[in-house]
Amino acid sequence: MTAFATEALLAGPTPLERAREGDHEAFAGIIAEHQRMVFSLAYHFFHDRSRAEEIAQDVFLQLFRNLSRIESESHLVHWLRQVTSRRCIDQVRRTRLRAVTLDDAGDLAGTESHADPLLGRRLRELIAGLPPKQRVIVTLRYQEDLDPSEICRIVGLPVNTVKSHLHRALRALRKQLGETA
Amino acid sequence: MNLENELKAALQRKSPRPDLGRRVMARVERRNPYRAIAAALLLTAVLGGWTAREIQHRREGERARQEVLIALRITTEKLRTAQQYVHDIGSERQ
Amino acid sequence: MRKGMVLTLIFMFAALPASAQRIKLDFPGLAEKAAEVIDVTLDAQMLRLASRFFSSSSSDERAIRDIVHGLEGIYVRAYEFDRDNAYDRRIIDDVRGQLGPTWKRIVNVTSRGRESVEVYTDVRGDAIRGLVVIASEPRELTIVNIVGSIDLERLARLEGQFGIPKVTIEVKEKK
Repeated sequence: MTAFATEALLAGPTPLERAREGDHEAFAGIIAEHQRMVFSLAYHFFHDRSRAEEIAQDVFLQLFRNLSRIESESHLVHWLRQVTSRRCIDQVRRTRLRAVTLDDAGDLAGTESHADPLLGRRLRELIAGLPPKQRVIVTLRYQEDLDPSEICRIVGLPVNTVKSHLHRALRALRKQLGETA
Repeated sequence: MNLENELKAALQRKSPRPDLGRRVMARVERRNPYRAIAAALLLTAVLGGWTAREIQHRREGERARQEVLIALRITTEKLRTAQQYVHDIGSERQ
Repeated sequence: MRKGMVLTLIFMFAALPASAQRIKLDFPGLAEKAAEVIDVTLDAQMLRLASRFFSSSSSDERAIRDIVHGLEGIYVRAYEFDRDNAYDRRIIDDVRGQLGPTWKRIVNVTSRGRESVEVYTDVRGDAIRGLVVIASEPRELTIVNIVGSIDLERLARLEGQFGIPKVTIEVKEKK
């Protein structure tokens, strides 16, 4: 037996394995670990805290129902990003929600080290006004720091389409920033 | 201005309210399929046909609950849109 | 027997002023034209059932339960179309035409993007006993009818940032 395998055995089952066995405490731990990622994906999509929290709750409930299908920690992260992105797009498609910007950005506990908080807020507002797919792609690119090749697996689009969406989104953001500057 | 750097800064991860996990767990407890199945089996054994009606009733209740949420969401969205326009008109007039 | 009938009639008419008005939202053929339809029909019985499924341990859910408690019905029809002007705008006139004298239009806004939102309330004394929202765009039509005692401030508190109370304050015109 290798040292790595021995260590893994001594460490016992992972939180994911324990959650799959019905350990609610382990599942609560998974939520605690990933809630910032899930909430932020939805928040940057809608620019609406209440809606983002609602989406995050729904995503974790869906995760609970699908725990048996999650194979590994990396699969879990991929699954959460994918389901959150799809839920955001689906919801905007269902209700045709308008991108009404809200003044709640300042209420959020973040660690923003932005030199110009007004510019950061303006950017978030502009992102919330992009077409749904562009919104998701921009958020995955800059919040999650993913490459187009990784994003395309999450959103289910060809990599060139992802690049094109990203390009168009950046062009639109530059244009709008120029107009409001 | 480097737009990509600005985007990275603007889109940093944020924290939800601290009770998000607790609220999810409350819903998990309520919807735990194992618990529902166990309850359904027990009730079936004890109360027979009453269980099926109860499950149906619960399904209808959950569906009604979801529909209330959809309806309130749509209503508040439309009211918000109206409020936003009223606000914009007020701002333009000032 | 006759006395009983008279009493029943008295009670029926006595109940009328307090009873909120439900709007008829049947639009034959419209759903078939739409790309997406949301149809919510919740009468008093369904609302009572639904309210039992909101947890009393969560303040958010309790708030929704409190709102639902005073309601007699929630009816929503939302249609989304693939092309502009796919629906007959007389539908909107038909809904407006059903609103009785106790209904007041508290908001009527039209944007440059051809979106318009009208909000009507059924005011009896100091209480709002009904709400109708008509939101229309070239490709979208949404009609909401809430029947019963509605506390708009409670509704606004569901999402604090919405600022819904301002809608009631900034009364622009009356029907």
